[in-house]
Amino acid sequence: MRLSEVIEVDRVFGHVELEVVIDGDDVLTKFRVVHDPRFIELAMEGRHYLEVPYIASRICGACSIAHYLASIKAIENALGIEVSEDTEVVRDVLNSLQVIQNHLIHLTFLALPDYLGVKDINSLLSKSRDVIKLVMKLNSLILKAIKVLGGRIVNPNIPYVGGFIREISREDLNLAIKYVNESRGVFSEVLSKLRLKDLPLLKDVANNYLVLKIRNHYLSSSDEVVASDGHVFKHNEYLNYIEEVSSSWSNSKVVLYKGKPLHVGPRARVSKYLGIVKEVVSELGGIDTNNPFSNLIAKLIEIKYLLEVIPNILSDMRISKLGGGSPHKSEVLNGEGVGVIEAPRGLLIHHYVINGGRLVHANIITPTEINARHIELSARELSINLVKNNPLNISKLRSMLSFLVRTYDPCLPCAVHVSVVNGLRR
Amino acid sequence: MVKVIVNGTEVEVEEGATLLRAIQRAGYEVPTLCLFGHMYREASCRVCLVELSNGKLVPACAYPVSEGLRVLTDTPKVRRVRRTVIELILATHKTKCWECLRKGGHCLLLKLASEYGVEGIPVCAECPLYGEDCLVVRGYPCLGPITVAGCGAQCPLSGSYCIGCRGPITRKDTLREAARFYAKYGVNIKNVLSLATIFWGRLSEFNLVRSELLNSFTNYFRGGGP
Repeated sequence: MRLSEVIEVDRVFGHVELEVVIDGDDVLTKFRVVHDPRFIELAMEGRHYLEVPYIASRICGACSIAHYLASIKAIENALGIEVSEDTEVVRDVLNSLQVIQNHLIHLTFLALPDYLGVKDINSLLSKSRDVIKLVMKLNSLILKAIKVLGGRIVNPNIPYVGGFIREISREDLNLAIKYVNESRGVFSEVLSKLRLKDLPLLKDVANNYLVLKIRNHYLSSSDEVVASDGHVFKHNEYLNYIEEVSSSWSNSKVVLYKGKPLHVGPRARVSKYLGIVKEVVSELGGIDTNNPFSNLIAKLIEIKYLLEVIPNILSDMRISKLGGGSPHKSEVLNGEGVGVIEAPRGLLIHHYVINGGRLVHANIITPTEINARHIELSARELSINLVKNNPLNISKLRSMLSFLVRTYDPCLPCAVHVSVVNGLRR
Repeated sequence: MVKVIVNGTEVEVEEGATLLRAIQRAGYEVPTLCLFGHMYREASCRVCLVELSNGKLVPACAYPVSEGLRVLTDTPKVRRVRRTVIELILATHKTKCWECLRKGGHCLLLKLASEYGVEGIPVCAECPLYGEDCLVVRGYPCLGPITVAGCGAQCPLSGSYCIGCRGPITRKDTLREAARFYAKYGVNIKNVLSLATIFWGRLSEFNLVRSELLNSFTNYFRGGGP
């Protein structure tokens, strides 16, 4: 049997095509990012280091906080700026809030129609309008909490190099706690109304992943990366293990760990820290971490767990106020630093070289780049399962493959932050 | 009492009252700048223009009511003319929002301009930081004075300077005043322009903004000025 299909996957952030070529027993899949290149790293080079986080946060409107915080961390590491533990905790909470908000939006508008077995968001609206309404309420509550701690709901500006640009007071933290507590009730209502279909069965052919080692609580960032094979390395050694290769069919690069494809994201985090979230997992009816489709369950687990722990983390902080004053002015103006963070879609790496207060080199590795090769592998496996010993059903093949790509929640504007032109990085 | 029909609703007002009063009694809103009586004498601002049944446009704040008068307050024609009127007012308005007492959400002109889609008022009009708290006065290269308003001044509110994500104001006299403002408080215009290149570097208007700011800035120190 010979078949060549190009699937333009809808309901993802950005534009992507999945090409499947089936020739007898050979199956070839190509994850083609057709988004135009955006040259963000080029725009950063030559900038004063205090301006860089603002540009970094514009890489993505959905996960701007992750890019912003990773950028700040990279600059702080490069210039040797130390921040207090409380500052780190508030940043982690801000990041967790953004993870919740991103998961909500992805689940409801992009992935949920697949899991409920309806065609698109319109049929979803007519079928379960009350769920969508509740999710929108939840979303607005989380955004309010983000606005309290981050200053703006997208492209935040209160966290800054060396701490916070504006004072974060106890009242602010209490307000954030109030919003999160309110949203926890709404979320359990959402969960009680959801009736998910059974997940399609698929075995992960290369279950390698990378997650950030946690400091004290789930999603708290540290400077060490843990791999699924047990290997732990410091974030500034990432170039020894991770390689970015260009892909001839895609506008984005592809990332390999020790030469092998890998995945990052909620499923990787939940499989690594299953012990921490095990109560929530059992409440939600378990998770098969070896199935790529279980990413949605992992997202639900993360939302539920984070909504439970964030109020505790914030109320445990024994401070009256944090930061404030003028923007940071560093004595050191030269250095090289890496900032890593667990973005909603997985591990995000920002790597900067600063010379004389100006950025001279920037390298950003986004989760979608890391997942790209893994998506191809899973899509290949799924196509083989679908065509082997079964009559060919092209529409089913197309819908299942789109479903698979959507499961990974690729963010294509992030993936094409820098381009490869004629093999040269420009 | 006189009967007037506003947008199809019948209302009764005293004889000799203005059309504006009838419209307000009927529950409709017409923008006015009557609050600034000292600046716009009766019926000279023309923001409150409404359409009569014969297609004539009259200022509601000065037109006397008569029996059976039919009036429409929100037609495409009215909106188009009002927009032009606001553009004309802004053209003669001395835009020095950073020093204005009505900054920080009390600017009527800003409200009107954003409702009718007229640009030309800087972020300072929305920014509540005033006097010594103003980021430019404190010496930061805040782009507020030369950036189009509409965001609610969220960045200055949380303590970081405006980075101009809504695009530049291209009115030359506003730019000149802004350059003088920067110069007065010792903000280097080169830092301002460097910050502005983040979002405006590729805009075709950026050359105009840059040359106008640089010229006015150097003129300030020469003791001259436009």
